[in-house]
Amino acid sequence: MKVSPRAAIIAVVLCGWASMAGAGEIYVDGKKGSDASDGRSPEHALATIQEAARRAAPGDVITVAEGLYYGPIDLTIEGRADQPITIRAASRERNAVIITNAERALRGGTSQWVLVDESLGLYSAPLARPTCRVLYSGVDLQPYDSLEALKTFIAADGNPGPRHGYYHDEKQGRLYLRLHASGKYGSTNPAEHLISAGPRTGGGYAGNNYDGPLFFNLGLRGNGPLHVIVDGFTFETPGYAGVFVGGSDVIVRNSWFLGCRAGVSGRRESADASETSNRITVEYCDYSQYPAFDDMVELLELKKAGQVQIAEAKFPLFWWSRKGNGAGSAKTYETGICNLVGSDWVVRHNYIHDAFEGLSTWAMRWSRGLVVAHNRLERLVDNALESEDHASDMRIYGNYILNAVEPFSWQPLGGEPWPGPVYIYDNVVRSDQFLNQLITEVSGWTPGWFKAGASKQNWEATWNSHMKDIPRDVVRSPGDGVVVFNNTVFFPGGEFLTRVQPPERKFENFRFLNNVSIAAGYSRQQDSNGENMEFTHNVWAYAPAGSDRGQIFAGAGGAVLSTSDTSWMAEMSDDVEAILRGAPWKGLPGIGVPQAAAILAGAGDIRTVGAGLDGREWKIPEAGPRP
Amino acid sequence: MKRAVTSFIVLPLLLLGLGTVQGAPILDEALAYWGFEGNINGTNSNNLTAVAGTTQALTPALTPSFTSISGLPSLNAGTQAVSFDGTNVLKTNDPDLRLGGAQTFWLRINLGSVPSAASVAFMTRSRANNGQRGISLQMTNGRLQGYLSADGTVYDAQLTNANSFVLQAATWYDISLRYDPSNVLRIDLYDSVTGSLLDSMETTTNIPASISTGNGIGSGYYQLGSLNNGSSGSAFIVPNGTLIESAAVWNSYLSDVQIQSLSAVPEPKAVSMMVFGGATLVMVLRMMRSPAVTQG
Repeated sequence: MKVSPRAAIIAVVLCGWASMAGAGEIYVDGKKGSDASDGRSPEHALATIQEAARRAAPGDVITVAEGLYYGPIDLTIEGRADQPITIRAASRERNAVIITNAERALRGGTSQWVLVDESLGLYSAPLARPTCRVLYSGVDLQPYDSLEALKTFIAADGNPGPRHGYYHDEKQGRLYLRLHASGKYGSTNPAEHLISAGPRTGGGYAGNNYDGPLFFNLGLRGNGPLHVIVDGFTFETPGYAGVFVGGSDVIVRNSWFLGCRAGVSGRRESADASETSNRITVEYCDYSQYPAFDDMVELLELKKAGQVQIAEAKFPLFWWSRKGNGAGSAKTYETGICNLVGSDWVVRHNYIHDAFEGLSTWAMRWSRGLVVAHNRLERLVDNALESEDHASDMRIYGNYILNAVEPFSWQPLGGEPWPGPVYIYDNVVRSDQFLNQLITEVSGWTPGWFKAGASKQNWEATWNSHMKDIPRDVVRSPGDGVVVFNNTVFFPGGEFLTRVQPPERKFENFRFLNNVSIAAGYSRQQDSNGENMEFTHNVWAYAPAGSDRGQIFAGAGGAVLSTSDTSWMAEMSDDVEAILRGAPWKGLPGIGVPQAAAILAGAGDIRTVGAGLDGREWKIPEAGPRP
Repeated sequence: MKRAVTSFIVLPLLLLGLGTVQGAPILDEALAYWGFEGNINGTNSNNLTAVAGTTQALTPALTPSFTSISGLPSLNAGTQAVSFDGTNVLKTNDPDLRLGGAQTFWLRINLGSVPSAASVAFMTRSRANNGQRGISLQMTNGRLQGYLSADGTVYDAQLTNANSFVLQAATWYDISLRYDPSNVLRIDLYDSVTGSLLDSMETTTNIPASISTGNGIGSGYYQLGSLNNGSSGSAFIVPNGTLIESAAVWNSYLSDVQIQSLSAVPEPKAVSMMVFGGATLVMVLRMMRSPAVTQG
């Protein structure tokens, strides 16, 4: 075909014009689009996010139409600080724009399910590749490490596990499922559910180290500043993280993380900030391992009713199958919304719920300057927020923590540097008395809302050879230390402290100021009497009524309320904000917190106790994806 | 000849809207491609020699055997595979294959068995020094592994994963190993029958800037199968009953899309529209990239 010079010039001009139109919208539609289109309107959408990213220039907005997109989606894109590239879902509704790594035949419903054992409700279908997370219609199944374990619901540690689960027979290439027999999660037949079985998880002890693209649904590659915003997607069953950020300067917002071991992951952990992913913001997202919490409660109630037997007691928390006791450490649910946090991450306004933990050691270990603010953390099997092993300059404020078994943890296992400084302030914690009492009654172990201590592993574990000459008589949190102030904690039936180090080892640089603690007692450990922590101007109230060492927590200038106020305690489950407004500690004097002056203006001038600094009305934070 | 055949075939296919045939062009771009259709000759005159796994150099040569295969729907699948009996290896000492920079290994394999303890070498290139291989695609306990050595003294980069997919016997797999200097070593594993991604693993730690192209030890052999050249035994030998349907080497880091295209299976709708039957399509596509056509 001959092409005239004039036509060629016109074509070149048109192409140039098209590329100059880069600063604008690019549309993707997996169902109707084509990568041969120009992508400049919904009617001429591209088919793949990859192609849109390839064409994107700084300042562009990629809008992805509703539908299902199979990952991993591996992108190399860079915006600029003043012109970030945005990748957004056309709808932020849950399951509107899904990026999944689920096995296609299972998810598409074309796999043939076989009823293996009707009496057990045991089904099987082909699945060649290993899997780490399996969901049925969004319900997360406990992994079991053998077919026999699944048949008996016995976890690897010999304790009872959740009453629904999966086992993958790698050799036979088959997936076995037992769905909950009660019907509370729908049919017991997997063929009547949408089954999402993700790929294997990542590398390392906890499977949380990046080792290939199956690790993520959406990967943002490159080690430098990326300036990318991800907005509104539903991420489903990746190997580990919904979003993997190789570089820095990324915002992930308004997204849903289902069957994700973590929501957002950095590239690696390191004490060296040049090696990590930095300045990442995770906001207004929803992270869940539903129904991890309900499974725990069910096991507790089954034990209470004498319907399950626990293994010979080595450790009272027999319901920790999802910690890794169920099918090994590489499948542990002890993860949380983030992984491999570097410097200056911000985690705010997220709804983190029905999970094992909110932010675990695998996220925090070498974090620096992490802000955890205005999140709702609800129904968590272990800790809401951990600071171990080496988190520095961590700031936790404005969060609402509901029914987390032990909300805060300072429990390093990696020796020095110890976590710190850690600032915890202006949070409201609330656990139902029913929960603390059920746990206590069934296991003989009572939760504490602050878990702290450095066990001997910090000196004796093989990975802590650097600690052999370090004295063991004291652990000192560096810098301003652990500064816990102006929090209000409703923890009826539970205790303040769970100490995880011997009584002769003292805490240094730990301060509790202006807090309100409503709990059954100071600590279940009767030899615990303060451990060299500093307490001042705190308020203590017993719930239920008691007399167990509340005065230690109240400290100098503090108060122990003479009686628990049954009126506001009774109403607690209805309106925590109203309870705070009418609380009996209103008006009690607080004290300045100069140790927090570096991170909170006016900290030295605080004069109130409890959440709601200096009389400001405390509100449950807005959290989770916005419409 | 090839051009005439390609034009004759491709035009009607394009007119029929079969836009998903991507595997064949990538194979055309390979530095060496072996189809194993009754011979062990490769493109660009990169022919292999069958020898015993314990043999030094290229003699005495063995007579390779081939097995007829069926049931592979991949667009670039053939009808024969070269057979391994637990003693043999395929070698070449062509300097073209002593690559020091970016490269991609790829093969389609069906294992006779999966040794529970021993390691198996699938594709390797020998080293400059009497230490480690320059580049090696291996399997231990059914899990794929990749190794790189800049100068042959140590493995600088090791790609292993205790959680990775465990290969099974009597199953077809497409396996690639890619090396991007100073950047990444990566393995991808596809199901040859469904074209689905089974595993993908990579490491970015200690990736050397180059691999020595020296040939002091092992004369720089490129090998399909056992990596021992000398008399020290037959470790890493490919198990008896293993079939390799085809294999290829590129002197570039193929893209993810290109790797995926090598395992693409025809879409039923497209095939049903075709004037040619499915078997004819496979045959035609194979002709398009076969050594005989290229050399014609």
